[in-house]
Amino acid sequence: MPDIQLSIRDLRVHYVTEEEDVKAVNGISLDIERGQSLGLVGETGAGKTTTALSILKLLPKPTGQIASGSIMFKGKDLALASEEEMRKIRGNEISMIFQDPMTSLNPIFTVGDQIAEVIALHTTISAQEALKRAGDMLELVGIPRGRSNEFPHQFSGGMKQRVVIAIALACNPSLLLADEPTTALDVTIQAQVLAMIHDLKTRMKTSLLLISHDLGVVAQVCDTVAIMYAGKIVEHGPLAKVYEKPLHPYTEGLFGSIPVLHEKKKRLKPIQGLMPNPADLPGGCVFHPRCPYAQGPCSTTVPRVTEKGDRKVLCLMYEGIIENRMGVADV
Amino acid sequence: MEQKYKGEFAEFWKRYRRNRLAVVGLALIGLYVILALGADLLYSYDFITGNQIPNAFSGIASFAEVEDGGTVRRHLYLLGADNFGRDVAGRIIHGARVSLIIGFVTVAFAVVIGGSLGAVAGYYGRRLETVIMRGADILLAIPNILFALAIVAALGPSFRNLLLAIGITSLPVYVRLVRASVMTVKDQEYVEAARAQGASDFRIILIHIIPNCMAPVIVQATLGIAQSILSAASLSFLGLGIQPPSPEWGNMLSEARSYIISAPHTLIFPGLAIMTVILAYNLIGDGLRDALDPKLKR
Repeated sequence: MPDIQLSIRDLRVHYVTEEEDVKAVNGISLDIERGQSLGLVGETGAGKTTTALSILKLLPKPTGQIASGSIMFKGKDLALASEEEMRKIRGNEISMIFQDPMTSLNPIFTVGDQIAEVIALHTTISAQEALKRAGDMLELVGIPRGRSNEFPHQFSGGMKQRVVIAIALACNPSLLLADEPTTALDVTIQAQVLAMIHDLKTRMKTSLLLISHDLGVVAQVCDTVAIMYAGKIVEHGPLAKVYEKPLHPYTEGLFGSIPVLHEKKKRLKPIQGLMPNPADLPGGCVFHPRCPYAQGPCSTTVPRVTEKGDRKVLCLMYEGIIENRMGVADV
Repeated sequence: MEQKYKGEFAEFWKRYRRNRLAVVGLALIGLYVILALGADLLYSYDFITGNQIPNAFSGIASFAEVEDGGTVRRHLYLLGADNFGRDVAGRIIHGARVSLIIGFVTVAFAVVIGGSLGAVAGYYGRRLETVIMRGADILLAIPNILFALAIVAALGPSFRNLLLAIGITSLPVYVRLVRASVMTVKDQEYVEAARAQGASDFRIILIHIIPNCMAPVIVQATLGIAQSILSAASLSFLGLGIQPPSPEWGNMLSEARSYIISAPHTLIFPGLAIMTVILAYNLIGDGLRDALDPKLKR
């Protein structure tokens, strides 16, 4: 029996405004085992960040609402938890790394103070002891202890992201949410930071939910991958298998959009069209207007999750309702 | 930690020093503070409030026999004497005490109360914000001096009521200022990061937001002190502030205005005192604005 850390069931998140209901997340289900890392991949607006924010209940108030579903974490449903309970969990048991390290550190406090703050918030140790622990955390992410008295502006972007990671891991959380942690960094620094996240999470046995639009980043760190489109997880499975042979037309389209070094191609094959407006989603399969394999039933029948071994896919082709033209029915 | 603080202060001082007039302003206020602190050593309170009728209207730098604490001695009237023969210089120095206290207390009151209201309004928004901001707008709509007059007239003239009146009239500026700053700072990612670390709203406002909004408040507070001193002097001039024989620059002016022709020194020196203090605070305010403006850094 796998040790499930986080279990999301049929989560729906809507942003309710006066004009419209924006359906950002439409019934996703996810499990993250202890020490496992899951990559959540999708285009801008697919609902990746919204999913992470709803786990911590940090959705923008008052528009963001969890409409239905449950988020089970350590036997507690976070969707129903009070603000008080959430405060104890945030930074302590579930931490989050934000996209831009340049702005996620407070400019007027030293980095040491900022790491010590989260420790002081969740433990009862003295301020001095917290500062010492902050120094330890800095060394853990490869920054000399002596720099804990320096201010964020004295650090480079990569160093700042290391500090942010140190803050996130300071209380030894069981789950780390990383929302595009390397998007603001250049490629070499990105590789370093990813290697470090991978290394630390393995050592501290932290589960990881890595959000990215970059399939390469996910490949470097994750064991499992979930492809998200218009608020739904369209494909979910072990990383190697999904990358080897995508089951869903959208996943196939994503890989078709990436240039491959060792293959000579005249043109990439991008996915036609644009993401649908989440306030006005198409009927049937949400992907059908852009799907090269779409047939009649796709615009009327809502696909259900089909399990194929340890993989899950959301497409009518695997329900036997329409003919599978991708030619990958047998995995 | 000590090192870090010194470094920051040195950096700030380097920028502040560039504005020569601001340094002059700081020196002037320093002088007034020293005089106010040493007021009792220079002139006893009883002496400068007690009548010395025979010496009325003594000229500048004149000597006269005075009765001080039961004994008679020769006294130098540095800035002359007023209509009761009281030493003008002594009254100005004792008056500096009152004015400086009024300046600090009223501004501290306005910054703390107004700032908290503004921070809460800016952070939470919605109905709470509407209530607070419309309240501030109502206060702003009434002319300051009239409103202070009304408060003092209703509660009766006393030092405490004077502080209260001036404090309340200077509230709305800080409410608006802090609200505006908080609204820009609260959407910064480090505030969201603090929330993701499990910090409470109170902690986020106090530790993460307020310190990042301080620069404009410090500048406004410095200018506000000048405004408060002027308001206090105006109210005293109108007879609603500090009551004679207690020395206060406004009531000194008020008493002296009948003798503007015959003994102009009784009027000119308190007037100059008010003018120089206000000027000094304004110069400091300008200097602080330049020194704290991140756009002018380096």
